[in-house]
Amino acid sequence: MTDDMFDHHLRAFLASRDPGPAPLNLAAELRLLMEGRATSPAPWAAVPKLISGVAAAAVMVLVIGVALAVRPEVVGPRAAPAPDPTDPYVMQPGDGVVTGEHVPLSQALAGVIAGGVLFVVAVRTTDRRKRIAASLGVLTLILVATSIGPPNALAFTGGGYGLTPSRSVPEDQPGMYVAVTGNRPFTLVVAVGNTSRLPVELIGLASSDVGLATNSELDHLPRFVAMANLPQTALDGRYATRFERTTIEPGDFANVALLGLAGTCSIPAPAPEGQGGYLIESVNLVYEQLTITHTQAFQLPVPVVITTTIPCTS
Amino acid sequence: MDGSPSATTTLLHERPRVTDAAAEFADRIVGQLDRSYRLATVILGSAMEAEDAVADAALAAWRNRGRLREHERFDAWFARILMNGCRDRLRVRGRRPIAEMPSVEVGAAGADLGVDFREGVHQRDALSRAFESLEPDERIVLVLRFWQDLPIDAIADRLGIPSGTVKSRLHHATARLRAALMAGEHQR
Repeated sequence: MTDDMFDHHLRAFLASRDPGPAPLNLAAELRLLMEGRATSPAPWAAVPKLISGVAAAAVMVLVIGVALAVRPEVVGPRAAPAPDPTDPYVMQPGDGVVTGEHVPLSQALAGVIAGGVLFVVAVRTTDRRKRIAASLGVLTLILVATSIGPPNALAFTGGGYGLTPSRSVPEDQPGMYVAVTGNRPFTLVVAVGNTSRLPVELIGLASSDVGLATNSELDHLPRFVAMANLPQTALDGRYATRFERTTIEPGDFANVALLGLAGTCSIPAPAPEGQGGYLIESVNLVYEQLTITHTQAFQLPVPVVITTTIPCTS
Repeated sequence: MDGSPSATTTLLHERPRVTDAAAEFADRIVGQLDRSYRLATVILGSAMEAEDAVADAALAAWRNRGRLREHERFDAWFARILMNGCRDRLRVRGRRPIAEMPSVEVGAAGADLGVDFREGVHQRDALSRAFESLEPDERIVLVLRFWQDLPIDAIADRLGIPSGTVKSRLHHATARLRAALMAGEHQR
């Protein structure tokens, strides 16, 4: 191939990439763009991108750090020495109970900041790819926020439940009947399922339920005072272990044991005429989803029934 | 007080508004819009990306307008900003071709048009692939030389590099394209 032929081919090739005059709207868009920048300069527009990027990252890390620092903690007896590992674990009131504020202010702030930054980028950038990426980011944030939704991720979806000690169930009044005398403990085992689209982390039993345990004037009321983990394959309170945060995948469940106190007036026999009782239909559980903590009244598959004397003399 | 405007007031009235300056600046860029847009498209191979590149270059020029000392060299100054923007885009893009080349059917229609037509399509295809594989700096130098017909010294001045570097990049780029064309001929 001669130099002339090569030169001819190359020039023809480059000419084929020539699009001709610029689109008519490009000039108008450029004018609008430049006059817009000239009249409304953002206060931070002059800040170098690297500095603003580092500052934004630092703010995000700070917000996430605060969120992790103020997240609720599982509390329980801690002053006692560690038990012998060969000893079976016995649930104590306060085990697996969650304290702390659950308002997700820091997470909401992080979401608003991230959404705001992405929105500004989507509106102001001249790069179409960045605009598309930022718009997708905003949509993703909205999707995540709506996926978290109201605190109703937990439900009984199967897997079993049981109560110890219990007695026979009257045919006309279904439930799990507690068979203890006075303010004695009983154990409820139940499978807690995740019905949401995202994984949840079960944190523990809400302290609002347990608060009753510290008030002797309300000792006649039945309540749950502790929670423990159970193996996935054994729905039996004898296999309970000290509660630790448990991740439940969407559609999956985790077995837990709940320690209850029946109240001073409870009796282990069928209620004769003139006697009453209590019905516990739900228990308040705390879970975390995408760093946001929720407290939910977890509906028991069937109510727990405690028969009591009337009047209660304690 | 005689009622005449103070010196400060006069200065404020005489100073052009920011929007006027931006409009004047935009006029200068729009004045060479066709040339800039076509050049960016030939280099990048995408009209859509070329529009973005020109817009980015315009904003970059507006932000850095204080650095322009010789106002009569505005066109060359803006062209250099545009070239730098195109180079950055090519580097980010890497080797991913996004060229919007017009498609040509070489099947039955090509048979009717004869051997020359088919050879032309094959050669352009080989040239296109070789062009997309060039380094960004080589591609820019090649376009300035063979599409804009700029002499070596003008290219060096436009890009702010020595003439020897321009020659070296041209040599490497043309050698690769020539090899690609020769290989295409041998395959037929």
